[in-house]
Order: sequence, then C-alpha cells, then structure tokens
Amino acid sequence: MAATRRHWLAAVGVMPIIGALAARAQTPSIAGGIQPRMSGRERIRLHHLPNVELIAHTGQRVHFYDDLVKDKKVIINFMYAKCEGICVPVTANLVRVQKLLGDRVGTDIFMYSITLKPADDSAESLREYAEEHHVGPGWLFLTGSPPDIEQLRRALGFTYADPAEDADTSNHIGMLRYGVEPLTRWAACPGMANPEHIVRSILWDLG
Amino acid sequence: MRTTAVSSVSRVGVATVLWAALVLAPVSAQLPTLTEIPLTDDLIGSRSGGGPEAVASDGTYVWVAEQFADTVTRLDRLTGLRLGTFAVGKRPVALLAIGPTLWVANLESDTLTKLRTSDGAVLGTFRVGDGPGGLAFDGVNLWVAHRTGNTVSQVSLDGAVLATFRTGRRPLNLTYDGVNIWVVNNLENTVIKVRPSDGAIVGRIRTGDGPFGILYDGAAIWVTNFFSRTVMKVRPGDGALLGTFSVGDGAAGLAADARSIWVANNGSSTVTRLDRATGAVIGTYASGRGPFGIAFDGRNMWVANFAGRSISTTLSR
Amino acid sequence: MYPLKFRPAPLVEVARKNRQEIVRTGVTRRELIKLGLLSTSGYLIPMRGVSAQTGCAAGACQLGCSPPTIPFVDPLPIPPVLPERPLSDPGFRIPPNAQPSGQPQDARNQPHQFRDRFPPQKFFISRMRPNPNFRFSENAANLARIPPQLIWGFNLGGAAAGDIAITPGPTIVSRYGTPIVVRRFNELAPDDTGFGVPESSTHLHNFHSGPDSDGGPCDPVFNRIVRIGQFYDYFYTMARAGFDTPEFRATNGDIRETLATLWYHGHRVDHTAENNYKGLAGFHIIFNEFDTGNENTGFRLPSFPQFDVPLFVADKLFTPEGEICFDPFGFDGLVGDKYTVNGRLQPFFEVQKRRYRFRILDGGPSRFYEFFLTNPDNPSQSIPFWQIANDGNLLPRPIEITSTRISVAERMDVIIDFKKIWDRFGHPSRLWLENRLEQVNGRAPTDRILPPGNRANVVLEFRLVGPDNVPDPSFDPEPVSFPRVPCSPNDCVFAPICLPPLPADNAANPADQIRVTRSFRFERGNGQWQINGQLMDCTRFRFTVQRNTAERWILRNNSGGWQHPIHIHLEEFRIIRRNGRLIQCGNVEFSRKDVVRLGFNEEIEIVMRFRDFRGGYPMHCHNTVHEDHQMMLLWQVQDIGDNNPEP
Repeated sequence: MAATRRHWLAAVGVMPIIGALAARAQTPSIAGGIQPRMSGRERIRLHHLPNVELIAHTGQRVHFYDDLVKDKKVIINFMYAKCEGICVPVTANLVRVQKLLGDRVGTDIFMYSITLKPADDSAESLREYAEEHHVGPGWLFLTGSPPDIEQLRRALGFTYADPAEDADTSNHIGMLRYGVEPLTRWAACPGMANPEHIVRSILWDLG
Repeated sequence: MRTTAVSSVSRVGVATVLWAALVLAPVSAQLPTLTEIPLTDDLIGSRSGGGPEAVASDGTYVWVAEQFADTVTRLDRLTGLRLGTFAVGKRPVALLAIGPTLWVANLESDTLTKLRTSDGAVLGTFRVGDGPGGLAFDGVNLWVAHRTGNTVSQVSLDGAVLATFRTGRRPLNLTYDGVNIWVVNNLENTVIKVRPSDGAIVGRIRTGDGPFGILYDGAAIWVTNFFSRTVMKVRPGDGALLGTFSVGDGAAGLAADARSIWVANNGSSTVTRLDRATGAVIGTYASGRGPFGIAFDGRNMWVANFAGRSISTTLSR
Repeated sequence: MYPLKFRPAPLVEVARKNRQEIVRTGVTRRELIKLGLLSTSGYLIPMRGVSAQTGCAAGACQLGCSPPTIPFVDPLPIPPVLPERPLSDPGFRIPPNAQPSGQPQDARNQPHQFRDRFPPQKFFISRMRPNPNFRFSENAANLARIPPQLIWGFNLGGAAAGDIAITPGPTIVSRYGTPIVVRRFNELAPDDTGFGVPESSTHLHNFHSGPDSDGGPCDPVFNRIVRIGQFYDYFYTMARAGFDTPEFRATNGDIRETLATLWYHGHRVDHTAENNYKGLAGFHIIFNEFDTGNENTGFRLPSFPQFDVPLFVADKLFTPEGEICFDPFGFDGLVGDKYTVNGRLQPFFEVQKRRYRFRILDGGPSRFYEFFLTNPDNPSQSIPFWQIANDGNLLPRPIEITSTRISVAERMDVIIDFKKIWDRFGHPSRLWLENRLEQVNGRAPTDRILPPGNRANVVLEFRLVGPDNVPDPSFDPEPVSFPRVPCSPNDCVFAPICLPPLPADNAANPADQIRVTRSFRFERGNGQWQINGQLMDCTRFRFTVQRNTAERWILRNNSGGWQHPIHIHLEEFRIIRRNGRLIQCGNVEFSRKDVVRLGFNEEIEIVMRFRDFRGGYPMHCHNTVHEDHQMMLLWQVQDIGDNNPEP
C-alpha cells in the first residue's frame, strides 16, 4: 500500500509548471518595459546563493551555487571548528541526523557545514574536526576567504546585523537551513532539536 | 544512543529525554563557565516562576529580582549563599543600590520599592509613572525610566517625583555621566542625552538595532544593541562614537570593573568581557541560560539568568 | 553616519571594505536602505541591477520597494459562499466516509471521531489551485504597475478549469446542528515565484475539531500533509464544545461555547507563512438559532451577506516589477507596505447609511494593527463604533470603542453605524478604516500611534451612499453598550450565549475544577525559538491533558524585543489575568478567545477546558514566520493526563 502511494504520488508530482508558464505568458510588460520578469529561482540565487569559491575539508575547491547547491537538495549550517567563542554542539547533533538519513547523504541529499571563522579554520583543521566527529561521507565542511564567507553568511540569512556592523558571532548559529534548490523550497529548523524531528522536518520537504 | 528511522513513541521518548539534557547545555565545555547558583531549590516545575532579569550589588550583598515572583533575593557576595527573599511590587525588573538602600522598579505596579539592605525591610513604596523599568542615580536624586509611559522622572530619595520629561519609545535603561542623563529608546534605535534641569534633549545618537543596556564607566558611555549583537562606546561630551564592538546574540545588560566592560548576551547565554580602553575582547564565558542583567560587587561579576532561574558569577566556589 | 570599526579580527577589514565601496559612491546608510541595497535581514544585495526608476534593486522584496498604486479605485470584493454539493458529485467518487479510504489520493490516515454521533448532512468540495491571473486591482494604472499574476487560492469546488481559484477563498457558511464534511483537493503546482510549497494542511481556526480534522501542522503518528493530487476530508460536527460531557451531552454541547467568525488557512508545517501569504486562506462563518444572519430574527445582527461583511486584511510586499514576493530566508517576520482587503489593494466599499457588521481578520503574516475610523475631511474627529465579538465569540456586552487592536489570526466583529456617524459627524461622505499602529519590522510594533488621515495607512474606504433614511431593523448596540451602561461580570446581552462559568481551583462542580497549572516561558536562545527552554518536536507530545477537565496555563515573555500572538487549538480559553490584573468586564479581552497577545515582560494567565476529543493539538506563536521557525509545541488530550507543571 505504501509503495503504491509513493509511486502514485511520484507520478502526480511531475506536473507541468502551469502557473509559472501561464504567468509569464500573461504578464504585460511594466510601463516603460524596464526589466524582464525575474524568475523566483533566479531571485533567490541572486540574493541568497552567491557563487563564492570555497574549499572543502576534502581539499576540493568548489563554487557554492554551481557545485554545491544548484539542482540539489541540501542541508546547510554554520559552525566553528576551534571553539573559543560560543559553541553550540550542532555538529554532534547533525552526526545523528546523518545516521538517520542513511545512504541518502551524498546520493541525493548533501550536507554542508560552513565555518564562521575562515581565518582560523583551514581545510586541514576542518578535516580533523570532521574526523573527530565521525562525520560520514556526503557531508562537506567548508571554508573560504573571509569576504566570501561573510557574503555567504549574510546571503543565507544567518544574521540580523545591518551592514554597518560586522558582528561575526553566534546569531542563528543554531539553525539549520535546508531546501530543494530547483523547487525554491527553503525552510529552517533548530539544529539542536531532536534528530528524529529534524529528519522528519527535512524529509517532509526534501522528499 | 543510536536510533534508526522514525520509531515508536516510547523509543523516541527515551532519545528525547537524552536530547533534552543536551539542549539544556547550550555551550560546549571548551568555553570557561561561570559558577551558576540556582535561585530556587526546586529542581523542576518552577523555572518559569522567577524570570530574573535584574541584579545589583551594594558592596556587601548581591540582589536579584525575580520578576514573576514579585520578590528580590539577597545573596552573600563572598560565598554566594542565599540570605533571604523579600516581597516587593509587581514585576520587579530593575535594581539600584544606593548606600544602605536598594531601590526596585516594579514594572507592573508602577511603583518603586525602597529596601534597607541590612535586613530587607521595606522603607517605602512610592508611586511613579507608567511602567518603571530603569534606574540611575545622579548623586542626589534617583532617575526612573518609564518603559510604557515613555518618560523619565527625577525622584527624591524620599520617593517624591520631582520632574518628568519625555523620551523616545520604550526607554529601557538609563545612566548618569556626571552632567546629563542618558536614556536608550529601544523601539527607536536611539540614545538621548537629557539635561536634568529641564529635560531638554541635548544630544541624540543613532544606535544599532534594539538598544538595551547603557552605563557610564567614568569616561565613556557604553550601549548594548540586542539585535545587532554589539556594544557601542560613546564619548559623553560630544556624543562621538568611539567604537562598536561585537559581542554575543541578544546583548542586554552591562557592567564595568577597573579595566573591562562585561556584557550579558541573552541569546547565546554567554558573557563577553571587553577591554575598556580598546574594546578588544578579553574573554567570553558561559553563563546560565538567558542572561539579562549583570552587576559588579567590587570584586566579582554577577549575572541574572532569566531562563535558568539562577545567577552566574565569576566567584569560584 | 558610519560607525568607526575597531576590532582586531580580520572580519572588520571585510566589512569595512564592503562599506567603503558603497561609501565611495557617496551614499549614506539611509540611502542604502532606500536604494534597496539592504534587505530586510540586513545583507547587501549585489549592486548590479539597481533600477533607476524605482530606486530599488531588481527583485527587491522589502518595505518601500513596492510600486506606487492608487488607492480606493477598486470595489471591495465579497468572497462568494462555497456551494454545497451532492454526494453524486464526481469529486466524491471516493466516498467521504468516517474511515479513510486507504487510496493513495486520500491523505488522511485517521478516522473521524464522533462521526456516528454526528452524521454529516452537507458536503462541500474545495480545490486549492494556482490562479495565474489574479488581479490585486482592476484599475488600469494599478495594473500597469502590479499586473495580473500568480497566487494560490481556493475555488468553488468544481473540477473544471473554469472554476478558478480566488483569495481569500470562498466563505464557508455553516450552522450549528448541521454537521458537514469539507473535502479539500490539492491541485497546486510548483512554480517559479520563489516561495510557497504546494502542500497544505488546512486548519479551521478555531473550531472545536477532532485532531483528524483540525488541520494541524504535524502529529507523531498521523499524517497531516496533503500533497499535490491528494485530498483530505475534514469533518466538522457543528456541535459546541462539551457535547461528550455528562452536563451537555443532551444538548450536543454547551451553547455558551458558540463560535461565529472563523477562518481556514494553510498550516503546512514550516511553510505556513509563505503559503498563507500566497493566498491559501478564507473565512468560515457559523450561524445558529440566535445569531441567524437575518436581522429580523434572533439577535437581529445585520443580515448576511449584504450587511454582514467579512474583511480579510493582509499586508503584502511587491517587487519593483510588481510581483508579490516573500523572502523565505527571513526569520523575524514580514511586514508589507501594501494593504489588501479581501484580495484587493486598498479598496472602497459603498455603504448605506445604516448599521453593518464587519468581521475583521488580521490575515498576517506578522503585522499588528490598530484600526480607527477616520473622516478624511476632518481627521481629528474621534469616531466611535462597537465591538461585539472577539475571536469569533460574542462579547457579554457590546463595547463602544474608537479603535481596535488586532494581531495575526485574531478576529474582531464590530458594528459600524453609518447613519449615526452621518448624523453626528457632519455628513461625512467617506470614512477610512485606518491602521495607525506603527510597525517597521516583523518583530513587534513600535507602539507609536500615527497621526490620523494618512491614506497610505488606510486599508479600506467606506463611501456613504443612498438615501439619508433607510430602514434598519438590525440590533442597535449603542443603548446597551459599555460604558454607557455600566458592565457587570454577569452581563449577557446575547443570551443564552453567555460566558460560561470560569474553571476555578475550588469549584463546586467537579467539571469546573482546575486540575493542573502549567507555565510556559517563550524565549529565544542561539537564534532558536524555545518554549520552556525546549525546541519543537513533531515526534512527541510535551504533555497530556486529561479529557473533560480544565487547566490553568501561564504564559510568560521577557524583555527581549519580540511580541507574540499565542494560539492554542481545540477550544477557546479565557484570559483571567494579564500581569496580575484581573481582566474585567468592559475590556474587549473579557471574552472567550483563541489568540492572546504576549507583550514584553508579560505574564498572562488563561484557563481552558479540553473536552470531547482525544489526540494531539499544537500551541504556537501566530506570527507565522516565528511559527515556521518552530515556535510551537504539541500536546494531547487523553483519558489520563499528567501533572507536569513546566512541560
């Protein structure tokens, strides 16, 4: 019964994007015809998913949007490897989440932890950190240049500050952001929540 | 403890209890932790009843106000032992020690309670304006900020309201720099400098988002910004901004000792210590959960933890 | 004015560099905001794409960037009434039985409680669909700036493509004593607007429903989410609370638990804000033998639909290109700079010079309102009207007011007497329903009451038309309203729908006994919303209340800068004290309610009963963005409850 339901839902889920196509066709040009309509996916990419260059703990050099997020189902959080400041044990909790997600991580769900202290956390120190925590495959720890990390952090909404401040500390450090990029489906849940609840919330969205 | 896919309620329940234990420790063990002293002996079922935000020291004792219990608790500053709980007005959210007395601002009863610190005796209860929530002393008179009424009042030490002046919206806290009264307007993102003689606003500074606490350390004015997670250092004479420094999430109360400024970070449950001269961060410490107020007793710092219903201190026990 | 940065860490260099680049162009911080280079969450938007015309970056979604529109050029739409359908309707090919059908299209996996006792007599179908051509205005100049575009809504239930979806959805009209089933189909689709998740759980806020039909966000065992191509049958007993208690079994519930103005809206866990904002909401009005909808019978409240008008107020943001937008990466809440009522931008409504009943709903996502009546030709006039219900519950005595404050999900029923206003205020030809409560971010209002007479703050313009004297047989609240008539705790102008006895600690009647007192702290740590220091968990219930008993719940908030409208499902509660002060007659909160505003440092004591149904329900903040970031907990009703005072 469950298999039938899943099958049937999968078939139905692939419906044409009728709304958007119709909207594009019907939208009259703005007076003066200034800009063509930007798709929601493009707007989110532009404002929230910058294509900054990052280095993974594996040593790979990647671009955030093109390589890590585009067309993917992702779970993203921010952390510090060297914990002098505020430490919230989200990583340990996420290890449990990864175990519950099983072999989906690295196959169709990708986990990314981005350092908030790129000057302190090199790829090498992130690799040590990942090993200490027994992080499984499919989950990358990422660092980069401080300006790029800063831009990424702001873009993903892990800040309240207006740009006149340069606070780099713990705002929202506890939240996980997850989504299905091609569907512009984004949500956030507390990183310290019960891992079974986190997995449930994530699977409701990521499928 | 390993768990597999979403399991039955009972297995989840066990995992969740272990979970809750982990959640109750908001910071990793790597952060130096202040000594935490509970304000109640009850282990469960009463944490919500206190909600301490305000803390002050008279040099001998440390006082904490429990806003939902309508009490203040006195502790011995050398040992941290609790030495009595005394009833005050409704929703006590600010404390100020002046000589042998403690003044309490009761947000809901619109009164000030004056206590004798030696024994907690109530020396008087005085009616003030709408929503008293901040206290300062100018050497002669008390100043009270009214969070709901959007005013400050000058009040004699006998409890007589001498003058009342308008402020901006939600004046949470105030301080005196020797000449003028400085007030944060939490819902306007400004600090105003008020001339005590006539209430004229002689200076106005744009702050970060959600200015919360303010103090004068003898040389500079310091203001915390709750949502911006910063503390600002301002020159009193001309209001010039001398620096803005990052602290933790929900920067709330602040206190000064000889060389540093200490900021309680409500959201991150930490306290940040900064060098008064340079603003450099000297250290960050884990406090109990949800700290708001912080006070110096001459030797140690004391922090009131809203969610933890406890007080954290640099005193080691 | 730029603060000097002074920090040894490298990040300061970064921020300074970013700012210096901006400063080099010569703009101040205020201009940055106006130029749309700062988002609502404060980050820098890439500088390319700055639109010269509007001054906001392309696709900017923030206050001040919506295109200008002309107000009061559209008549107020009145949502149609959802038609009843026979069981022979093809939409009921899979019959709406008490037990779920087990078919893959049937999203329900829980039987309907009490279906045998209350066999449904009417059946409805509602289909959630995109409407790609929705018009926020019909005016040509406005359409040039805010063109027809995609929203989500509900149709009249037909399967044909021509039965288009509208927002707000059709009004469902019910009567106590006539149980119903509403079958909701999910015919949404993914799109490229950038927000909205095409799934729903539709909550009837705040009917006394079983968990199987409550439309809550999640449950440890039972499914709530309706996916594309699925349907869910929601069963409403149309019986008042108490129908399964010894005291009220014979009368099918306590008549004093009558509800009137409800609304239905999406409750898809984690995506409630964006889905409701996109249009998935509508009214549900219940009439009964006294509140009849006919001003010649019963309480003689103004007749529905002509003089009994629901007003769905919702604030929106549009991009400079005129497309409704929502930032799913925001945490604090969204406040819009464009007001809509019943789906139209700042419409007008022609009224006869007589009394009308308006059911005002704050549809969210985050804004608090305070509505005044303003005479645009004489804004200093203070014009009274009467509140007769709070959250759908008739007040014990109407209260004369000059303004009403309303937070997300609250409903305030008011009577405006346009004849009295015409006579007493110099024959005004127009009146504005004006929001004068300032709010600049999603966290809380600033509490400043703005001066009257600013058309930008007006949600609806009333135009007084028709003859100066028209017959008006409807109920006149003025002679019986407070403060003209002193109030007493036993008031019951709308007898027999009086306030039921309050549960108490030492009640004579065991059914009124408060069994347990629990307290809840609402706070935030490390950016995560917590209730009693714990995070939301859809896999468990935090505590269990005992069926057919009463409890006292104490809600507390601290000095941090958020205000929260707290909502509890299943039953209405009574607010006993706000900050230690008893709520007394003459206060609009002296009422049954289901949403309570928790302000700074507030402590609110409520009492509530938990009757009839067994199973799980949520308590959550109804600032829908907070809700989506999991400011919520689950509790359940069972035959044996626990005594945890701080769950």
